Amino acid sequence: MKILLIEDEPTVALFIQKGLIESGHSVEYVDNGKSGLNKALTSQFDVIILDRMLPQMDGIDVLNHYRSKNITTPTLILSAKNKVEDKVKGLRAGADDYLAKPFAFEELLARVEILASRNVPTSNTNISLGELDLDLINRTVTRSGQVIDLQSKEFKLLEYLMHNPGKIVTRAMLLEKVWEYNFDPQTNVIDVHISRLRNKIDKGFPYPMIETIRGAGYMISKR
Amino acid sequence: MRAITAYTKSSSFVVSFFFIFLLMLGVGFNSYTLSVANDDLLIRETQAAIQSDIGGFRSLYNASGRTAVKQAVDERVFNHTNDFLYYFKDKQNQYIAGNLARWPKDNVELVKNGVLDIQVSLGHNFPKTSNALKGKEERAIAMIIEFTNGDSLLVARSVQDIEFAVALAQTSSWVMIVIVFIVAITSLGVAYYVVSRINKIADTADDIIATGNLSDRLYVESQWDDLSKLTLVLNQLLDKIESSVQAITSVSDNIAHDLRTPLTRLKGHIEDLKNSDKKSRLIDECDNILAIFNSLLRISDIESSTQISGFSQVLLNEIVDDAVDLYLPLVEAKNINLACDVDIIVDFIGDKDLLFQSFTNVLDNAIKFTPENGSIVVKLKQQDKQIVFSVDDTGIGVNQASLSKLTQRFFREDISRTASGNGLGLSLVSAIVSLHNGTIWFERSHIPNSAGLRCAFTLVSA
Repeated sequence: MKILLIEDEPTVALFIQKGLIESGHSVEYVDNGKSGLNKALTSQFDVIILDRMLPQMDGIDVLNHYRSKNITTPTLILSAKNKVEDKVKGLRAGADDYLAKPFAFEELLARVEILASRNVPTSNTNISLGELDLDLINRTVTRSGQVIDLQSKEFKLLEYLMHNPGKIVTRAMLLEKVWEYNFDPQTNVIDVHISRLRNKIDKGFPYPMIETIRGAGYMISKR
Repeated sequence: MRAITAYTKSSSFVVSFFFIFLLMLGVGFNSYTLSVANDDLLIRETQAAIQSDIGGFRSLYNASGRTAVKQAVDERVFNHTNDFLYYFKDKQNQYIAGNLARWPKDNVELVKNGVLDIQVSLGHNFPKTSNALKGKEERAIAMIIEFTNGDSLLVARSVQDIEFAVALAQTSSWVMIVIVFIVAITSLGVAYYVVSRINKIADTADDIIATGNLSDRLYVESQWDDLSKLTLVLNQLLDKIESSVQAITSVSDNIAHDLRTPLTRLKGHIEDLKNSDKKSRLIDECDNILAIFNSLLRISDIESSTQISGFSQVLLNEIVDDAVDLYLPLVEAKNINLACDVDIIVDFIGDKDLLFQSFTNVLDNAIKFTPENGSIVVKLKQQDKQIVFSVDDTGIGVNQASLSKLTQRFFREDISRTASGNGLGLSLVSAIVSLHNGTIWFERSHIPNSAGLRCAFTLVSA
């Protein structure tokens, strides 16, 4: 995957660049908004990682600029401070995801990989993965035709996982999408919710669909 | 520093009052002396001296007659035995002896005891005494004695200098009173000036403490006086503190940043190993360390942010409900009896995500330390402008000495070292509470018959 990294803090940039390269991606790195915009306009990338505060040209301005030129490359905004205002501004300007510093590298990697596959169109009435079917209208779930009774949060959890099959979904991402809070879960509380969901989805079936990825998060996949 | 609210509590005011008091004492003493030693007293003394002189002349005349008196007067006049003035005349008003130019005119005033208040002038051919000027009229106290054959003797003493001295003393005491007033007004003015400048310094210092904005500086009015020097020195101190704090922050941030990269790499290497129990434990350890670094960076981030530009209106009670909802599976798993008493608070301005984080951290702690079948009480109460969030549990509690240390980074009681967590959760809560102008405290659980902990904090809407 080809990633453009626009970040002015060298320590953070190095940290991200090394990690992405080690995960098998190719990274182009620039340290200011102007050259970042230039790169975004002239080359093709799968994902752009854009710092909010940049010298010469602000991150939001860079994003506004290339979005106005119909460059729809999925963009993740990094922000130094976890501020609601920054997040709202970023998403309004057309960013696809937002991550506050400091972050764990896995968090960034998981988000970047989900962003890259985001363009796959999904039906908005139901989602299926293998023998698992999610009816978004009637809010019902079946596995191999067997109806599974889920509580509303469990349904939302499963829905988000199934939107990203085969991708790692982190605990922070689940909190953000399912509970709608943006913060760093420092406990195992998400695991408890997942294990309840697993009890209903996987128990009594030939193989588990929800898998724990150590140190990163969860992944749902078909056999 | 704190501004001086009562001026009487300022040292410059106390010193001015002390000086004013001393000066008043001086004026008082002066006035007392004057009232005791007034011209009456001095004049009475003069009268007594004249009377005794006259007594001497009377006996002399009775014993030795006119010639002896003339001789005695001449001797006194020419030999300066005293400063008295004399005029000795016979029945026909003929001059016999004495240093006065003439007998006083008729319109002399009788003061008392037969003493006359007269204007006198010294005769031209007599040596000048210290008191009398030749040819010039002066006020004097005088007595006249008439001898048996019709001779008369006038004995007088000038009171000009006495009156002058008394007048001088009176004037000087008025001058002193005026000086006292001037000194009082100036010293109170100076004291007021000093106090108001100190208050300015104190206000700025209070501001810096309250907002944590170390880039703020004291206003320097001038360069010449001691207070300006103090201001300059304090500003230099602030420069120093600011640069030290920046250095510390950047060093600790750098440590966290710099160590995260090799740790992430280390984790990558471990992941390349064959799957085993040991491998998972190693990965978990790496994740723990990385999580600690992230938490540290996050806490310092929140602590250093003084801006509230990211704040918005939030429904506090919904955030609490969401936090409780998130932890419900854990509560149910331990069969804990959870009670919620949440006021509806709709007009709070704050950071939704951070508030959620603070509620969940406290809740997480309570659940962690509450045994199975225990109880937890969550409360959110509005008291005027202040909002109090509290969580009581029936857990193991915390011993009294440790209560105040709970928000320190990495602090963990020995008894809880075996439990999961890194000792940063409550530090983070404390930082978030400070950002919302609140205070956090810990005490014994309010649940009856429980040794558990109560964690409570206040929040103030921005």
